[in-house]
Amino acid sequence: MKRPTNSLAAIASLAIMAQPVTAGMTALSAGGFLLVVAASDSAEAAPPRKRPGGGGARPSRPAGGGAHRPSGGGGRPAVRNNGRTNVNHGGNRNNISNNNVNVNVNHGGNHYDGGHHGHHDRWDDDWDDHWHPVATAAAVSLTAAAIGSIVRSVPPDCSTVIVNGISYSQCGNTWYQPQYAGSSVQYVVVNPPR
Amino acid sequence: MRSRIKCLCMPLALLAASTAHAQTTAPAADVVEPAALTAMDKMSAKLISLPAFALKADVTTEQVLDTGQKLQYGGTVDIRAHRPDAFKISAVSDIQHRDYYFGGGKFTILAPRLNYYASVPATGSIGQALDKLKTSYGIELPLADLFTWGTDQSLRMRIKSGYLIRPEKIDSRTCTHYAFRQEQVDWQIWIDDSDQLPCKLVITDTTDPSMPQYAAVLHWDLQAQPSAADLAFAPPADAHQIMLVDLAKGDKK
Repeated sequence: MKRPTNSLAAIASLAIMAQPVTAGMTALSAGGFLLVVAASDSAEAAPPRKRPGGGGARPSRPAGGGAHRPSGGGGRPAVRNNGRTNVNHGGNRNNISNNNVNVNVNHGGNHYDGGHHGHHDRWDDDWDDHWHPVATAAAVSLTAAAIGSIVRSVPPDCSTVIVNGISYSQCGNTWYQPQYAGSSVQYVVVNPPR
Repeated sequence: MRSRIKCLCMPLALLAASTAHAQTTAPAADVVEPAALTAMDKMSAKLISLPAFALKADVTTEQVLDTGQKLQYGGTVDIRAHRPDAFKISAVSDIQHRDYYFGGGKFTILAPRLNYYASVPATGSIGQALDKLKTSYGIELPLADLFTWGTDQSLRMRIKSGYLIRPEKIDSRTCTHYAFRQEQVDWQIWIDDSDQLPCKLVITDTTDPSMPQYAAVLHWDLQAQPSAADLAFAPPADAHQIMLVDLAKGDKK
């Protein structure tokens, strides 16, 4: 499926384009339309960490070509499982519950709708390294992010600032402190350190 | 196909028990062939006999979407290890790159594309470090089995079914194919007939109806003898150190 690139306007066309080419159109176009409204009218209604399925601020990657990480909004289903990469280590008892632990412990009060999504955390950061989702950037720049909330990525124009030996990512008035949760990098919204 | 075999085999399971070892067909459920365990034992003994080793694996991983659809990605896993207490594992794919270092009393994770790294204290053997990474930090390293086979005696107790399939060609090697089942996972392993090292591993997650698979073809470099110093972490010049959340300490926020 071809995706438009860049700009908020492209999101609007995303919903339109999604209609003729995607199965299950009714639900998809509805979700896409909600996305447009959220991005253009009231970005605060779309918190930066709204998860797939909610038609929120995490649509499919807008980059052209390649396989986009499935997500909500544009109609891509969310990832529920990334499989496992070893037979014994941790798998037997903890593979599933670990995900729940990850989600619950690291993202208390998050927007996830289930335990399965913990797994795809680990893919997010590097995806964002290359493909910055337009709507996330919009939401971040238009919204006063709540202190303590966690996002998977920050807009591309944020700068790394070191204060008292701690690395922050500063995006306008919003400051993030990156941290690893498992193998994923996530960003916690913090008070400005100075 | 699977269900047909099961239908045929299950009623005959008792009758067939004595002949279930025939290696050309799947044996009845819950049969663990001694030959399959012996092969694993030999491979494990070979693995732990290597004081240091290096290998590069070509891997594919599968994501399952909420719809049940699967997406496959390719990548590589480079493992260099020095027993008993040092490794560097580099897991690279289009969607993620992570380098993991263990040695000198600490573990470090580095995301080269993001340029963030985190270090935590980690002592003891490689196996002990792997356990701590899992329980304290929620990190599971790819192909960690290579370190635990032979050191964790509980592993063979988990196997509920295991049998030899046949010798097969993987690249230029002749490797004997075995199939195992245990809780939550079916797995297959190909073991090199000549040196007893694993040639290939396929892991099927049976907890998900879509059964995502992870496949790794291993290319061993038996000439490489990495020292602990070779595997030490040195932060890239422009990398930033951040925290690694300790799950045991609860919500970091």
